[in-house]
Amino acid sequence: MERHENGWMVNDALWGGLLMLAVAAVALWGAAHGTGGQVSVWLFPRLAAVSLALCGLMLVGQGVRAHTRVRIWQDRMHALDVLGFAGAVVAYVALLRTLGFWLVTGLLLGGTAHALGGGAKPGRVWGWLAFGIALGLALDALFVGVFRVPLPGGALWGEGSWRPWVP
Amino acid sequence: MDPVVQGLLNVLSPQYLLLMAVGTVAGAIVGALPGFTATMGLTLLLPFTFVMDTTSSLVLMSALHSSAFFGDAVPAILVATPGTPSAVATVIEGHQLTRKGKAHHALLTALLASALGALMGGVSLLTLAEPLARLSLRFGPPEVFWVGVLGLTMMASLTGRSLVKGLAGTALGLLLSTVGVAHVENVVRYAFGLPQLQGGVDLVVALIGFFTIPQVLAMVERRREERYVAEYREQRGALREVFRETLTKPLLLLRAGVVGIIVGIVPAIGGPVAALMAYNEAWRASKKKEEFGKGSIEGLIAPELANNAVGPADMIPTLTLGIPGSAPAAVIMAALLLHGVKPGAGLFTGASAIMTYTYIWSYVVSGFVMFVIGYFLIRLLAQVIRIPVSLLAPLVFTLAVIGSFAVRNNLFDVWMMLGFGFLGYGLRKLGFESGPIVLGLLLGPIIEPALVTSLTLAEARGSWLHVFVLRPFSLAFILLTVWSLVRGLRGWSLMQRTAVEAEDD
Repeated sequence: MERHENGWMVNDALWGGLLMLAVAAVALWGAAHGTGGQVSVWLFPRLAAVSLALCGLMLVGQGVRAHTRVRIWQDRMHALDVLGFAGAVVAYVALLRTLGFWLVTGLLLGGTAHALGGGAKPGRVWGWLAFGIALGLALDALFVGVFRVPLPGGALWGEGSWRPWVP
Repeated sequence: MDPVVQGLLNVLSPQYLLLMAVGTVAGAIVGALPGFTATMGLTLLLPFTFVMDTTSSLVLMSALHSSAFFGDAVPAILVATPGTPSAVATVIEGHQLTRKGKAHHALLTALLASALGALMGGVSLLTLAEPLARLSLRFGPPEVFWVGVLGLTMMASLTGRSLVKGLAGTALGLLLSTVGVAHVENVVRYAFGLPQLQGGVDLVVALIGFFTIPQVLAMVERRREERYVAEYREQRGALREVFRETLTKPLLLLRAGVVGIIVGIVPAIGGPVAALMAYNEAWRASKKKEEFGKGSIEGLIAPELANNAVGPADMIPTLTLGIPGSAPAAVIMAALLLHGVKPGAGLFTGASAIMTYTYIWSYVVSGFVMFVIGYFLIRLLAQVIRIPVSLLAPLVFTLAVIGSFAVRNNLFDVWMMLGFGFLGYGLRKLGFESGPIVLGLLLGPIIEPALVTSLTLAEARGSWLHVFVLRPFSLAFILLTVWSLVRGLRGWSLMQRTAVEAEDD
């Protein structure tokens, strides 16, 4: 990725092609080392992988010849917004089992509303978190209580056994 | 009783009318929300349809599908930003009318045109689907294989900017479809020792990941863009004037409807192209060309009507041949498959026929439901577009988590959904669209058994040529496949390029 006046630029054909070649290589390796069955079991994955590899080669060729670049992010702030949110959602899923759906949802909703919503005043963060947790509890009650989706209640709180809406 | 009549009576029952009302409200909100698409709405709804019977799920989805194309006109008219790519042409005249203080008038016109579009598209589905489905009775495994290949190449050549990237996306989707126990024999492929992968890549998880997360990340990325929401004030007598202006232009309505239906029937072209083509046609035939670009009512009616006719017409190849005409149609086809219903002639015979016609009629009736509910909903929709990204993005992500968790009640699926989402976002940045990947994943389990059976047939007959090529339908599908590839290689029409650029913006 290169930084230019009008943003972070990348040779899309070259990198896209290399990515496709890498996936095709893994698929062909898997087909070569796959066990059991007749030839026909691995025929279709091989065909798909070879097609993918051909597309990858064509894209790499295009990328090397044309040197065209596309903008990935406009500037550092845009990149930070996306990477920050991506990090938050990864943490959300990682903590889902331990903290429970209602709490991680509350933290994400409140935290994002504060961080992305321009709620810069320090005192406001607690308001946003309270709002987020209230919304998280409402969603938990709706989906667990009404739709019977057994969302994690949080190992820390005894799987949320205190929730009256848990069937 | 005749299934066509029974289907109509079903749709008019309070149970289905209520479902349609719920779907219409949800669809209109989905369409109006910035960055939200009909595909996202349908995808997030999909896991919750498991607790419903097939007919109810389809009726709910059809109402959401239809009304999302009206909802998208609201930000197009008030903010000059299309709610979904299909509203790209609505911005041109719709926002000009807003600047003249006629926002309410423009919104009512869009509503009436949308309702008429849904009605016309629904009638086309009602009349054309069964004859086309009867053709599919004559398909053997080779034809099924070629029709699948045709669907993939059309999606690859008509979506996004690069044919090679589209083809790579379909190949990637086909590869993903081979993960888990093989469709043709009891052998596990590409599970990499993970027991969770033995059941394969769950379609719903992949759909949510590829269609929702990239869009959420794009929403976050664009949150700093300044948006000016125009003042919305209701005008007395506007509805009567809108009726008079619209219904006195039967040729304009017919032309736009036909454009929408034709574009819908051809797989993978979609709403943005239909809307731009209809706008262009309206301009070409208009006696008031000078009004175009300055708030022309004709220029607003045509694209809104056409993009709403596309939705039901998209379902013609989906229901009859199993080729989804667009991303929303792919989600609806996934819903059918997940409920154990296979597209094709079987949908129009026996017990399935009543379900199918109830679903088809729901598109026709959705036009009326949309108009009645939309009339009262406009004021709310004008407020909905003000919801900030900082609230919307985490809320949509949370719904994506619930949807992917609900499929098999495990966290592995949530991780997989997130992985597909990040992959989809990264690939989109490199110019690869999610549509071809998802279509490959959807059609892989149909194409692979057809290919293997055809190969067995060819071996038994001792001739590949006779099995794969020298059959009338196979030959026709091969020629269409070659045509779609050549079309893709020859580059793009101005219309398609504009539509793709509009989607990017």
